[in-house]
Amino acid sequence: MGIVLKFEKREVSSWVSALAPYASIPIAFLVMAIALYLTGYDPLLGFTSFFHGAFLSQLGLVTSLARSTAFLLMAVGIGLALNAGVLNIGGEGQYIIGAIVATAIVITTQDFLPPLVSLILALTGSLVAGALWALVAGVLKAYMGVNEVITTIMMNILAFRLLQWVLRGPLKNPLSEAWPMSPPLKPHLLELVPGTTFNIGFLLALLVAILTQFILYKTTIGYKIRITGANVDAALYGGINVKNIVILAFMYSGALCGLAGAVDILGVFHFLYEGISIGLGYTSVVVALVGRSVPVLIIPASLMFGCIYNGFTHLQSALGVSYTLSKAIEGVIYLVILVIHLSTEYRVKVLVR
Amino acid sequence: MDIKRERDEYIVEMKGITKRFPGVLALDKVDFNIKRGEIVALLGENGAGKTTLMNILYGLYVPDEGEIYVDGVEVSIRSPADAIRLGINMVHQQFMLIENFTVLENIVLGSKLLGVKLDYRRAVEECNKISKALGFSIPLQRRVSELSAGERQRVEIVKALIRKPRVLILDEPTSVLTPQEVKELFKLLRDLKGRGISVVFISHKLNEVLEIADRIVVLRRGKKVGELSRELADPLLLAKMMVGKETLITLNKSTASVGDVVLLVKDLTVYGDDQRVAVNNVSLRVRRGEIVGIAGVAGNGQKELAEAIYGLRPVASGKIFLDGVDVTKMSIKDRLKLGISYVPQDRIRYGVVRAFTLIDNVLIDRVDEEHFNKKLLFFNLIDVKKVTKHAEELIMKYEIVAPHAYVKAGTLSGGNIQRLILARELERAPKLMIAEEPTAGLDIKATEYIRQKLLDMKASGVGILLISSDLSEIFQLSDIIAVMYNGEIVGVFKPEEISYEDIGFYMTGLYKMPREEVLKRWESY
Amino acid sequence: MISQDMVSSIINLAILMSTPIAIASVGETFAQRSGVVNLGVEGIMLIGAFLAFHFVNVTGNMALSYLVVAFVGCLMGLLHAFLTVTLRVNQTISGMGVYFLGFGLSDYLYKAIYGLKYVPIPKATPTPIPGLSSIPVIGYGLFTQLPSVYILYVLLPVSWFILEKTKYGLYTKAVGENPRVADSLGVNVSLYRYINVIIGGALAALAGSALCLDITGLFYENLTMGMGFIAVGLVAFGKWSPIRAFVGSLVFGFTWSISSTLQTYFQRVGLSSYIYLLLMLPYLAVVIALVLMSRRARGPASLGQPYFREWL
Repeated sequence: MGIVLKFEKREVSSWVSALAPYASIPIAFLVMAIALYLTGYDPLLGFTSFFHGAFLSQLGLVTSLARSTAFLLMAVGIGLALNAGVLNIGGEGQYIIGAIVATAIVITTQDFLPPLVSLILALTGSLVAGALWALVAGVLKAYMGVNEVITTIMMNILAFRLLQWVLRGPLKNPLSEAWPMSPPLKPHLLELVPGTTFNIGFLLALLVAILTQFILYKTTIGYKIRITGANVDAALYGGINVKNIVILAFMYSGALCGLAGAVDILGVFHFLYEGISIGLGYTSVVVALVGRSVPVLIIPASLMFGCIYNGFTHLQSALGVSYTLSKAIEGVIYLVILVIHLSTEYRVKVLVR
Repeated sequence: MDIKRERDEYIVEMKGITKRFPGVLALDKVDFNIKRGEIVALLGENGAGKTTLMNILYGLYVPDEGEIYVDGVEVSIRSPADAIRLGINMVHQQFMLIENFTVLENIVLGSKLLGVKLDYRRAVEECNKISKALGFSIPLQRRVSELSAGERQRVEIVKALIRKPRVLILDEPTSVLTPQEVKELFKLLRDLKGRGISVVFISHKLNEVLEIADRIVVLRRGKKVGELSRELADPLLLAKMMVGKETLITLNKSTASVGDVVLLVKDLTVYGDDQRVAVNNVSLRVRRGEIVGIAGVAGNGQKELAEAIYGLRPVASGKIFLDGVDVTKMSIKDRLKLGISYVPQDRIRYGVVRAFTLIDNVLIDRVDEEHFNKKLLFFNLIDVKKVTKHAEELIMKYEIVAPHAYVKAGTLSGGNIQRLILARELERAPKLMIAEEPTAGLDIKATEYIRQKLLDMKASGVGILLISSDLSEIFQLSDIIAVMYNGEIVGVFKPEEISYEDIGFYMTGLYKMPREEVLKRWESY
Repeated sequence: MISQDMVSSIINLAILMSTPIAIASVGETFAQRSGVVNLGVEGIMLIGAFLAFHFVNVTGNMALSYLVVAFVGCLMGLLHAFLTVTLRVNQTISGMGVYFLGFGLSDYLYKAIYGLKYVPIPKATPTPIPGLSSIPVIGYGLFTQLPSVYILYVLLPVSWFILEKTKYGLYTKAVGENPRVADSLGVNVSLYRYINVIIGGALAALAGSALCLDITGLFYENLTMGMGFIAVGLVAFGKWSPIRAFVGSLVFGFTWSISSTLQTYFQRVGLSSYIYLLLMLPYLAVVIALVLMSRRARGPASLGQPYFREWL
């Protein structure tokens, strides 16, 4: 007598496939409620402040949308890399590098160039910087088969250290002695809702998402990217230069993550400081997975995560809980998504014989 | 009383075995018994369900319905460990050996001959006992990756025998053997039978089954269609059972004119995955409108040769010319543009993307063709309409069983995936086609179709390099036969000039044509 | 300029800093030899570190904390094994999940219990080995060390022995090389993968506790700072041998140690802002080491792929 597990692949409609990951949210919230309760916080107060901050108030909604801009850019990039079979966990580092470069460009040019030119230079610079930062991991993976997760995480740590140095050295604000930060940046990205952090970066992100969708599914290069991720042997057989595709995928996702850093600096923070990235890169991986690595599906996913993050900020201040609760919840969401993904792809039959 | 005696006669009884895989009924209420001390053959064409049935007996698969009895007692075999415990052992068609391990390590795996520490002495003793009894020896300390196919099979047999089996299942054991090695194998099987071990011989080769089996059970499309003892067995009757009608493959072979050299390989040396020389100073040529067949037991460098010509494997030294152009260092992409086409043996891995639709699968090696592209600003778009149309044509023409072109390739059965890949490559109108084991795993109807298609292509002027371990296929299709052994071309013949037997000697390396003779023949044929 | 004492100290710190990575790397070597990559080692280390911290803070019993930490490490390993071996989830994705879980959970629990303060706990003290520790230069470096280092010294030969000289090791390697073959011979592929991944989890957690109890004496967010990922990377660097993985960890350890010495120097000569560049050195060293040593390293053939019996 015993148990045998049989796995049968099953055909799922694309709707189910697209919507299934969202089923993890209620489960995650349940876990959160339990965690709050067990550590002595009031779950009800938590949830009301959460939803209020997320989208039930006008300010909350707009801030959530602003927050989602970075997620959208980064997750779309990471999604394209996933399509090529490559996992870019280096979003964190690429974001920071993009922010550093954007800050540096603006600070050096803001006094003698028109603001629009400064901004465009900064955004372009961040694209290039992010792409180059990711290139290291890309080349190592393509030419030496080094696991990209490890190299990109090393690059993340390096980027953070670089940030720490830069804020105490070349980009230091001479007026702030104790707190490491850069001088304020004068050119701002156009605010869509004046007085808030919701800026034109959001529209830029939407544009990038649509462009990426087009590239992936309508062009020959997109086909080559997708086949590299689906079956690298077949890609080689078909004459596709897999090494180039892997490097291209890294550079593209790195560029978008760098751009996200620049957009946040120029549109939200307006100066550089140590705490600019708090795990955005890792969260964006989850966003990309919820969006199934498909750019148009990543749009709603990033909006949702923007709301979640903003909601958590409110919950934090209302309850006095650390922001890392959201990280733990994110971990739960992630794991639950996996299981859901698996259960929609396969039917598991348990046989007792 | 009678029933019990009958039961005693059978060591294994399988009753009403049914097995379903997604989309296909592999076995339909099959009964199969194994007597003590007999050699019983499971005969059927590819896809009939023979391997599936034995995999169930060996515990690799779980049947959906049916029971298995061993020594009259019903048993539940849920894993190979259970089967081995019951005395059932299997030597699979694809050898189950760990390349990086030594022979001894492979043999010892899973047996009860080791304690907690690795003490090989008992195992070595047992191996030597068996080797002596059977009259051959195996190199215990060498790595499996260094052994030939015949040697590996011997290792597999010792590996099975060391577990003291009562039933030994052999799945298509002769597919990797030369004619001489087949004779030796048969001698061995008779010896085992003499020792009271029952042997199940799975095969699709009628003549071999007739020679070795005491009893023959025929499967067709998952059903048992008949059972004969050797005395009553007759080839035509068996063939009829196997396929449902009398079949002999008859092909239309036209003698079209042969044109210029489309593939020229000069002094090619290529390394295999294990850093050793796989192709050793090989020269050959294929002309337009001609089929050159490379005969040889699988694993003698044919795969590496094909991969090097196509571009999947780098060349250590030598040159490859396609239609007069030196392609030795050219990318696959450029070689495709020059008109090369390759049907690899490991088609499921290299030739199809299961997660993609059939339409997307058409593009695997055709995505940059102008015919399938549209331009928009600086992007190259895929002309979906044209690709879809082509995919639908392929489905119709090659009778691929699929509801429509938008299904994912992974939902197709193995045979249909083969048809898809062959269809795609055959329809590209290449100048040179490398066909590696083109009909492996296909049923008779499909085999006939593909072989005829190859002959039609030849007639229309395509040069074909055929690599096959199926000698009858080589003889049936080739204009020139080259034998490959140990990475070298050891003989070049016209099919009329040589017999199966003699070719077997070249395939084992017993005979070898001197290099000048080989080159001379390439020139003059 | 560079005294013998200074060299001794550098060696001492180098070995100490290598130890957590080395312990985690040995564990991960077992897992990978059986065919499973566990990228969640970083998360397990963090949980291990936090648990050790909290347990010692509350009970003061270091020895018992090892057991508790190892047990929880087994549970985390069990989670990853369940996801990847039984549910056949992509190993990279499952590993990242374990990382997120470990990171978030350890951080959240610490802040929930201790708030934003740094809470020091009594660290273990270095214990010299009589005799060996008097050897000039290396005596201090190698043999006047903390308990986890001695554990590592024992762990290395033991793990080598298990892998190379026992039936368990042979079967583990078989499962990692070719699970189909192993399965066809009656070896329980899932069981071996489970056990090895669980061992990896236990060792990763112990590595985390070593970091906390022997080195920092504190816990804070992201205490491990990439060490877990380095440990995973070093398995390939060491070509799947535990001893070589240890050598790789020494690269990190020595670079850290040297950079640390330079930091005090920089501080003195007024280059304090450049200290952060020095902090980059160990990680740069790891990247360079990976580049140099990972050339087409061929590991267990089935590494990263789930095993289905009825799949073709």
